[in-house]
Amino acid sequence: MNITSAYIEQLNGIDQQIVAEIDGKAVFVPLVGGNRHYREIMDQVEAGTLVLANTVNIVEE
Amino acid sequence: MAITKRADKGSTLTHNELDGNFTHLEKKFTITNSGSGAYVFSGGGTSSDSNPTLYLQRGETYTFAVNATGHPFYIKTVSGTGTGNAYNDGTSNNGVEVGDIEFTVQHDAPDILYYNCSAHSSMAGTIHVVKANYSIDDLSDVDTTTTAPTSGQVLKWDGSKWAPAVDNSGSGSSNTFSNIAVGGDTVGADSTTDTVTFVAGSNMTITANTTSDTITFASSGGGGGAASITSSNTAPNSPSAGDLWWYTTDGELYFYYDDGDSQQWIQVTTPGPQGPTGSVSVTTANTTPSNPSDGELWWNTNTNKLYIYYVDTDSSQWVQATTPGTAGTNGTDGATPGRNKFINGNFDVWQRGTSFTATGYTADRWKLNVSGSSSTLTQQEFTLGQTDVPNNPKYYLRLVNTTNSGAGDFVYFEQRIEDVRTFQGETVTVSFWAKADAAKTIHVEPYQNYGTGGSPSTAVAGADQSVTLSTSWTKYTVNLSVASITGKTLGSDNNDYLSILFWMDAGSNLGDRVATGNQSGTFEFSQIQIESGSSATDFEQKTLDETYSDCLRYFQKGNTGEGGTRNRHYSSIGSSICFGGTISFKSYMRAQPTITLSSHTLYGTATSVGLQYNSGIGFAIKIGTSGAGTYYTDGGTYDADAEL
Repeated sequence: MNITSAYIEQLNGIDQQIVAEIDGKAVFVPLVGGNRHYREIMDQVEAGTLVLANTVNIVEE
Repeated sequence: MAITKRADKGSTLTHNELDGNFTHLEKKFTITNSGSGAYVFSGGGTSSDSNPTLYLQRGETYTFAVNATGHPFYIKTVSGTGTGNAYNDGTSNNGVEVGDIEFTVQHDAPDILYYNCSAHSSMAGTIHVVKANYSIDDLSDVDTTTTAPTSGQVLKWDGSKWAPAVDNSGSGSSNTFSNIAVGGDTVGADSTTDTVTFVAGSNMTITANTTSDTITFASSGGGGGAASITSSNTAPNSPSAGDLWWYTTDGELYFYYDDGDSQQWIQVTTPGPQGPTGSVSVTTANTTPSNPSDGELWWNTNTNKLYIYYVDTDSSQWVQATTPGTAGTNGTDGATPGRNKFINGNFDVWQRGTSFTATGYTADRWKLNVSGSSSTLTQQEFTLGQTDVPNNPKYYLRLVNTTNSGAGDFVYFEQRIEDVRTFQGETVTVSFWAKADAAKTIHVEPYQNYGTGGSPSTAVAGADQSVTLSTSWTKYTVNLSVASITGKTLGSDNNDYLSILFWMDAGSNLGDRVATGNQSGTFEFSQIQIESGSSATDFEQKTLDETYSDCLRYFQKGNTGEGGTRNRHYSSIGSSICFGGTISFKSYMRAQPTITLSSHTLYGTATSVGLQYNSGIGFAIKIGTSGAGTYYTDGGTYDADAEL
């Protein structure tokens, strides 16, 4: 699993998901441990092989 | 010498010395008197008897020599004094006091007469006139005249009198045995010393009662008879009276009867109705059961034939009860539905594509793992009409491994079966059809992962089994031991699983999988199955819909726009982020999936497309816009990935 970028996207200030590019595709990863992509991202972040980019907060009008 | 009178029986002859003649002395009573109280008789059977009762025989002559002065002696028909009722028939000198009265007893004389003194009533007695010869019929309670007796008869009391009757216990003819025959020997009653001795055989006692003159023969139990008993479908030869014969054909019992002038077998039983059938022994063995009974069944495990033990009237034998047909192919109906815990083992569903070169999911549920090697996994389609692999599968998996030499290099594919409880503590059987470009050995390994979150137990790799593939399609079977999970701890993320790994390439750093070694080649697989137990059943066939539905729990894809392709909206406020519609998943997924959006063409004010939220049962699209007005996307698709 090749993860080239990832950041946390918030909705109205609340963490919503991780937007990442995995194996060349933009994916939306839910913040649940049972999701293998989320687990991999967290493993790589923990291992220092991946750094999460700045969080993006989307505010609904 | 002249005899003047024939002497009567009982009389005596006296010799007269004067004339030299013998005279017959009449029966004579000498009578005197004892005062006026009684006559005293002597002679003729009396001896100084007073007033004795006399018995005179008809036809005989008696002399009454009376010497009783003053006491006239009368023979009368009625007892009493006086001279009346004198009986003078055959009588002379009736009524003398001193002198002889001769009385020839007439045959018609009354049965009872009397003698009396005409003067003294105390001097009297009775004279019974009796016959010279008596018949038994003269007895008052005997009647031999009504029914004349015949020879051999006896008198029997018939309830009112004694009458002639046969000398046995009842009516009928009298039988007298003079001989007793035993077999061919005869005991003849021809001597006063002949004796018949009865000897009790076994199970018999003989008792004699001398008081009742009875001999009793009694059985003391059991048989003991000498009669012959024959069980046959033909009548016995030279039977003896009393023999028994069981006629096996009809189940009837016969008795050999000899009535003296004929001999024949007589049926003594009539067969009853057929009784209910009892339990029958059934033996499953590869050898003939010993001591079988009629009707017993035997399944010969060597020949798969059923036999019945048949007993007829003259023979007994095992008879084949069925004729086996040719062996058919094993069906799938007998095996447990759902036994194959692999999903898409027939490689029917390929939602992600048909060719893969990197680690990741390939055919649905099948994950390729590659490191350091160059490997290509592709979907292959069987040649139409092929018969190498049964059940007409459409696709098979081909994995081509070309470059590998590193210690850490590996290539394997696996399927992760949700829930580590699956087959825990069991022996499982993994079966598959496969072939390689040359003889290649692969290894099959069980792997238990306890998930993530919290402090789950460390994953356990079980002992692997090797299989050497040939160059032609062959079905292979391996047994794996799946470890017990007792005492283990599951992670909190609900993503634990049992995986089965198929190793084609494993460098020296791969620990237990080293046995596989670095290996290149072409490997092809079809119809992979895992089931409980140590025996492989036929591959479990499922419809494409069934397999596809099973796969959707882990991965699914679809369109994001209305009508399948277009997603059109209007924004009046020109917000930078606008709602782009909601999509429901086709079925519940194992976990909240990763969403990938693809192929969205933006129109109108749309500038971007993204995921607004993901609930696990569906998601919402958000579209970035540049201003108020119509915006829409077209041709967009999504992938939802909830694989383990």
